[in-house]
Amino acid sequence: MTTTSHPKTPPEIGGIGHSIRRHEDARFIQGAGNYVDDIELKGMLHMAILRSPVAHAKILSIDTSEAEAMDGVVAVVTGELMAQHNLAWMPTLSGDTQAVLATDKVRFQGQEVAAVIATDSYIARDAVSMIFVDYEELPVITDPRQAMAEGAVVIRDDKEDQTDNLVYDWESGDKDLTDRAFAEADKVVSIETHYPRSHPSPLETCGAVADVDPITGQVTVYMTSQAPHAHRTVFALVTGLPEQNIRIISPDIGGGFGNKVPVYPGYVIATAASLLIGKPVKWVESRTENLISTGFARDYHMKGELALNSEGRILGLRSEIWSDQGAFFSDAQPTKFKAGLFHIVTGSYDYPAAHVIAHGAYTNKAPGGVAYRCSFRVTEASYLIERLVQNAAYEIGMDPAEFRSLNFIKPEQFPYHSPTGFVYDSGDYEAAMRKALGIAKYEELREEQKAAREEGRLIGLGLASFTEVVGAGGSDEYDILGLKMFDSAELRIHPTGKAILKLGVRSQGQGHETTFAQIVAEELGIPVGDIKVVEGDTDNTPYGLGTYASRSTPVAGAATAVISRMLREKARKIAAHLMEASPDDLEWEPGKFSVAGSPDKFVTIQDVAFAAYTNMPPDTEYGLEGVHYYDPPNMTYPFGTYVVVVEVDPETGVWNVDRMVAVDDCGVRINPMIVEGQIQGGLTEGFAAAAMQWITFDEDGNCIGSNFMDYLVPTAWETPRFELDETVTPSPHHPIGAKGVGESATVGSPAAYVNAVIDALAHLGVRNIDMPLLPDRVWSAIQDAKKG
Amino acid sequence: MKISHEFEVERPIERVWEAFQDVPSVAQCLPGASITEDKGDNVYAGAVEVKLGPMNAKFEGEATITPDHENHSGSIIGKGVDRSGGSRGQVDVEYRLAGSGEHTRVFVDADIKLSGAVAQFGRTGLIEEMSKRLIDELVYCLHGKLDAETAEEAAAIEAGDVKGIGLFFSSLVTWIGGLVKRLIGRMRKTTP
Repeated sequence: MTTTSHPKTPPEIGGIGHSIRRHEDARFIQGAGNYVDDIELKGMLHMAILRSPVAHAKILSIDTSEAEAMDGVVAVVTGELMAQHNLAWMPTLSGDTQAVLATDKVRFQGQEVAAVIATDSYIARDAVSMIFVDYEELPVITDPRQAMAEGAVVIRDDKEDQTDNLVYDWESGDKDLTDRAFAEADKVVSIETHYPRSHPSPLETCGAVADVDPITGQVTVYMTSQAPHAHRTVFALVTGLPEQNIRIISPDIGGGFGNKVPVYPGYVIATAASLLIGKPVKWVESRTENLISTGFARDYHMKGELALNSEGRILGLRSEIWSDQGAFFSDAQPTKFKAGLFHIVTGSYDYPAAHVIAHGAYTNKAPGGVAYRCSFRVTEASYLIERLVQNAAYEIGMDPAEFRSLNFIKPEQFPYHSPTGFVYDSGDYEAAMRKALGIAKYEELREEQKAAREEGRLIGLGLASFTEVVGAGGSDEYDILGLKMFDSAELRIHPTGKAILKLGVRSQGQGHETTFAQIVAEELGIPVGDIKVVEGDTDNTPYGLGTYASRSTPVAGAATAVISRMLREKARKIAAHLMEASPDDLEWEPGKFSVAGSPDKFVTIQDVAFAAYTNMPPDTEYGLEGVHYYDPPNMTYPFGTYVVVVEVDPETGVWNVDRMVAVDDCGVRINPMIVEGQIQGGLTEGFAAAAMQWITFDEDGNCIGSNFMDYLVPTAWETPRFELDETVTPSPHHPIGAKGVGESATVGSPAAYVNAVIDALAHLGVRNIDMPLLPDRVWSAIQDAKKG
Repeated sequence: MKISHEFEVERPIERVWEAFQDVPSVAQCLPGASITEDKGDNVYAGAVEVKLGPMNAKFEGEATITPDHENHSGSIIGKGVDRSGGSRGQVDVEYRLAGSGEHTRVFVDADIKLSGAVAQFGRTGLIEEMSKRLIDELVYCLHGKLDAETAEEAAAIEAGDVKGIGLFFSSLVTWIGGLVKRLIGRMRKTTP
């Protein structure tokens, strides 16, 4: 434990700054979690989905007769049947349409074609293999630039106005100003790279149990959902069912990372099947189904350029990206921002001009573009700028750390208006970088690197000084399908002084049951163990947009602090009434109000809670409960510097991480232990991206990466050891100064690892290797560089 | 995926060509292959069963075999569907015989298109290695048939049971063996 904190509350209250153990772990480590696949209902049937083996084909016929004849098969659902109920297509979170079950064509390998409902899951899967589909194969597109080439087959011919494969053209920043900056530049540094398609691959795959009561019309869907309230509304819109009759329960979730934000066809088919049959229907996808058909991430082809003057100052940035959206545009992201928040690509650096162009194209690959542990394309942006900055330093002949220092936004420039329209809340980038360099002993490492080169050894030092933008977001700019991106907290303090906190967000392993209780403990002095946190049941929690984009602490955490403070103000009136004093004369310390000047005269928050139901002042409403909907005035901007030291084997291209130093600044840390856990997880995922992870496709659109033998997840064996530290720059606009941390390390670290490998080879002239940095790619880069 | 193989049969070209025209007999020599119906006009219905590690696929379908007697060459176009695993396979083979006295060299160029679960098995090196093994077995079996004294004896000879786990692992071993050899070669080079 390296982080320091100075809690204001004693350990028995356990407010902000205490590394208390996670409440939820008691059930998780005893195998007593309650996940979707644990749900068993009376008379429940099981569903399995038939998926397309080909990437692009016309469906000529579907023969379900043999499957239907099997013992135990209750029904076979096809697109035709769904179409009769107007459910063959559904809207996506990006306002596109997506096939629930294919009717006309299949457009990616793994697309849903039919579903079997049977008495057990084995029969359902066996019956799926007895459905015979006749396909007429069509040309396949697996690259967005290929998709936009002349004469490319139109993938979305189901859409009337679609005459090519373009999903969107989007831009941000000032083109003229940027062109001028480049015209005045002494040097232009550019990079072209691909951030490969990856998958969040949570431990628990996606699934649902749909339970429709044929008598009352009540629809209860247990679902792996990071955003249960938004999903309820989408369900109401898709099915036309009255929203009060829809209840989404998102039980314990075994990891989400963005994978559980979209609405998948499986949820809709299971619900439709339950509606038609009148019995509960369970669907849980297999690992391969999860990897080939649910929301992938990244797949960004990026070009970036920096204009520099002779002193090494950045004058401007230009970037053009091609986004591979797959067959349906189903990114989960704010409506206004087609390329997510990619325009944060200007990073931690101060320059006046930037221009970003983004194109999205349909391909015959799985749809998605989910923000895998990041705030809508922030990972891609952070990767591009940090790679560019490192290369710029080489071209200018400066040390990459000094180059960053020269160009950083300075502490006194906050709130900082970025050239693409963000207002950075607070930061001290120099301090975080100096701290990281100090821990790593950067100067000494540079000397070691020099000495090693003399011996023919390749040591590299990679930096990333990332800035994230998280906590989407204020209602003026941020919405998903029109739903504004506020979030909520409902706090009820019971007569005995215990409390229940209900939230619109949904934890997937982040420890909400502990951290949000700590916020209440901090604000009201109720011991953290006396506070129960409830999430994930739309009938029993206030409306909210859910957990992703590191938004729970910035938005729902703020809502929790605000409602706690509102109840504290009410408590003050009650306390004044109990002590027959004026509310203005009372002093607050965690857990009690005392009369100014006579500290012996006090009442506790528990006394007040009891009085709220038994003995209220005459002009006050009974109860000590309330709900607050927090509309964030701005996003939050966590940052930090990561330093990676690698050694590359010149003969094999294998590289090992010798050191990984991570200094994170996420503002105030609520539970430092949980924060460190989040950072360690993110650094591991960043390492996976840099070293081993990608989902590729062959020319026929076969997905290579359909299993954990081909799509690699790092184990304890490969994962580097991390050295963590912190700086604390509170967010000025957040009630407790927290910025959110769930994603910082996934966003910031890939560039640090890659920069380290590039740094080891930089003297040979190597400036780019596309991720993942597999040994053969590194080896080839060395050979090419040697050939000149 | 394009795969090219060539192999030698120690028989004169006319004898080999003749053997090649007996399609059910050749199929007998290909591990996992079977002909279920001669539909006429060079069209045969049949199946190819392969086992790739944890995966078992039986491609059922049709093949059109078109011989060019004049040039001792021909083509095979086959298509099959594995219903249980949801895989599909398509193969386009061009073959050519070149005689030289008592020996015949056979050149095979195959374009294999797989989709579905089998194709997601991203070890292309392994699939190539396995196809080489299949051809080795085919050649061994063909030799046996050509050596047979009587037609009955020839008909009784079929491909040994190298399919399944055994073939997968022997391919894997060859593949890994190749890697190890290269690695040892490199170590020898770099060790002072």
